[in-house]
Amino acid sequence: MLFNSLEFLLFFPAVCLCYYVIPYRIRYLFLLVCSYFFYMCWNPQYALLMLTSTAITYASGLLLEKAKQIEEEKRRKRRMHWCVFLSFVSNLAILFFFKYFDFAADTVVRLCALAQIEVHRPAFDVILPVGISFYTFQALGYTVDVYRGEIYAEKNFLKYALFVSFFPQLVAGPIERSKHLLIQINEKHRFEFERVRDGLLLMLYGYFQKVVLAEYLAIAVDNVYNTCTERTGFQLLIATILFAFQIYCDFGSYSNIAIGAAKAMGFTLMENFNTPYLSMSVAEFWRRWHISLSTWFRDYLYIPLGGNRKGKVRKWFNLMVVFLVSGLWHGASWHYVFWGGLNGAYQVLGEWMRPINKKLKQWFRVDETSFSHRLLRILLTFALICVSWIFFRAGSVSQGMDILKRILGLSGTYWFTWGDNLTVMGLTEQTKDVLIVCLAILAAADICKYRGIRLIQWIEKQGIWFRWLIYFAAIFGILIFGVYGPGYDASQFIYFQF
Amino acid sequence: MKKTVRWLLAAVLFIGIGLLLYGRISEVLRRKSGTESDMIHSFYEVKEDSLDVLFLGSSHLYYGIQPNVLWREYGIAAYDMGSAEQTVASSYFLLKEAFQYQKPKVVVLESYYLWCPELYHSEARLRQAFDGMRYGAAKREMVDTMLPELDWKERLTYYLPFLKYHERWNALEDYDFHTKPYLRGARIDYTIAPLEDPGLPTEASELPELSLEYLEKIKELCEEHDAEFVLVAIPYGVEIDQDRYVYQQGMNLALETWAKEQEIPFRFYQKEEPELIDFATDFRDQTHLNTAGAEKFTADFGAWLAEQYKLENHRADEAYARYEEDLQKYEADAAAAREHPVDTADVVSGAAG
Repeated sequence: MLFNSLEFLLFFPAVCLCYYVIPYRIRYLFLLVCSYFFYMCWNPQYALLMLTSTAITYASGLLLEKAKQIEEEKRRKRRMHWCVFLSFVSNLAILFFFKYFDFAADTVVRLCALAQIEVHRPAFDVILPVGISFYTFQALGYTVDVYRGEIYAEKNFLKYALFVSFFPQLVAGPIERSKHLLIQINEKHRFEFERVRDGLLLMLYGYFQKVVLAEYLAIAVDNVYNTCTERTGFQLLIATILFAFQIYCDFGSYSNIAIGAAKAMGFTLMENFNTPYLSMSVAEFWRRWHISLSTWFRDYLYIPLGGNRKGKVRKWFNLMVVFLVSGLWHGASWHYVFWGGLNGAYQVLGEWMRPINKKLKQWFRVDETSFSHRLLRILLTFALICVSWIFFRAGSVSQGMDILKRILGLSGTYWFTWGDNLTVMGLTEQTKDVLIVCLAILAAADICKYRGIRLIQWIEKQGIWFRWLIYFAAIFGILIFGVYGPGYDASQFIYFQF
Repeated sequence: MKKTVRWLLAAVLFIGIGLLLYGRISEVLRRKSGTESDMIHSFYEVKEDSLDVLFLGSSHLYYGIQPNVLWREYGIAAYDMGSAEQTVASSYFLLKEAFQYQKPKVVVLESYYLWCPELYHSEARLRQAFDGMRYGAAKREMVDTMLPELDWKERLTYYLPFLKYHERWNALEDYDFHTKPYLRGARIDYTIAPLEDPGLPTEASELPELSLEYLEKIKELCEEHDAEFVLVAIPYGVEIDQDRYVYQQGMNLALETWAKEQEIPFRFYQKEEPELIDFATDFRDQTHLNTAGAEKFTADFGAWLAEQYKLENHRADEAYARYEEDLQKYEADAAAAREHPVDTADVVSGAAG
């Protein structure tokens, strides 16, 4: 069940209404049933996988609590390490099998082919279970949290199962922490008009990002990237910039809808995107982009690897490991790994060049607080991120390289040709206008947020006519300009004039 | 408590305004059947229980019968519930809907689309017939009968056409905002496409079983509602090729026999009054009468209807004032159209329906 499906638009209000009507003590059971129903709409069998992950991590929590009772320190630690190890190995094994088996097998076959060894890999045709990367990480985070003593193990299996499967954030995050979400399952959420309204408004903004912006941007991006060898550097450059916004809107919208939906039911989920394209460095970008994943890697991988406590070189190594793994997390393909590696490399290089950078600034007497300098940093960061997005969007590393060459004008073909570049990209005059207006709204909303202006709160302070005008404009704007509903071939209606 | 009541009131008001806006926006974006005529939807603007004659049929009907001429000449209150490529099955469901609002004395079905052996010819044409229809029992029955294979989301688009047409925001025309219900389902077009009289075949073709089944259903429905059921064949020429023409006109010959058996009046004009329509001047394309031809045809058929079914002339009745106003508007539009006829080349192609 997708957030932008008709099913969800019926499912969510029904769940929300029932949630506030039924007694407190059975609410978590109700949400658990709804969450599994939500998940099973895709593929009922895969709910068993989620249940397995849930059972393993639940058991690991209880065993860890038990192990903590052991008085002898050495034994206690060993038992605890085993608990964490088994929880990680079994969960990652499931993840590997369903997400990375083909990738790994292909890589082995290719490596063997390089060594001129012929290998027949077993045929394994399996659909990727939706959200497996998200709920696996969330569940593993719980194991570590209990290990670290940041949370007591949850005794009630069903409550814990709800923590892993909570439907608003189940398939696309934010990846929640047990110390944040699990404890909210025991809270009594009363119906609060303001909170429900805030939640719905955030969902509305999410729908605007997804159904209007991301979908329109996808038209142009897909058009260009699917035929990238026939495109000029200019078209690829525009498509890459548009892709940067498409992926932001796509990811961001899911998070906003998830946070809004949870809020309407009284839950608070962590922020996942905080004006990422206004970052002044790649490191800052990663503190603002997919925050729940970045902080997961920080807390459960970077810090255990030693973080920045073991010297510069080790820190750089750790950074690279985190970003390579992050790349792999995003998709089982080498171009994702490359994308992750590139983001890691940016940060390592940034740190390495910091003394030179400082000298240059002193030399040119750069005022770091000036608007021009900050704007330059924002633009440079955006450019670097866009270069990495090329490899995220391209089908392979070599295709990404080819696109980058074309954008930089190194391919030997025309970089720019006069003509109707927009139409060639699949946009009409009208869709272009809608896109520009929507991107302006997105930019205005992000700039306001960056400057600490809470738009939703600002709107809520206005008079009723103004508020309702905005609400209706937003609702009908999405309904009219959105890309949704059963597609149809407009050409079959040509003869409507008779 | 006071706060809760206030919020509840606000929520009800918000939803109410939202639904009103939705209704209006959905109407503007909905594809109009027959452009400005919007024939199926405009039907709901006809004063309840005021109709004497209800016409059903395909494009031959809405180009060939001008209800405003029936009013002008005989004071007959009529409406063309036509739509392009309207099959007999579609006519049946449209008639079911019409009976919920009107008690016509006579129901006339134009026979051209009897040739179609299917429930509907294409999704586009089906939508043209039913998008304008209000949600209700007749629409549900139509969807259940004609589209049993669709999943619930696709079905929903027939009840909420907005889901299908929200993307039309970049294709809106003037008529989307200002339809012309005063045309009473007909279309005005004074284009002249000179044709030769193709004559008539002598051998009957076989009527599709589905058409016969729905003809009988329409007959029964009319009997239930005390309405007379009449069949009419408006003249037409050769559209695709002579063989097809012979085959389709053969249907009218078969229909003649069937109608006689069922004791249903059938006016086969090309056979009964071949001199009424001038093929050189009265057609807008190969198969549809132009408005000059329609005026002639309507006047003749109207005289027969008035006499046969003793239809009262309502022109002096103040309760029918709206019909008089509509006639004035029709006359104005017709005069303008006579001065600026549509270019023949644009309309002749793709004239099926």
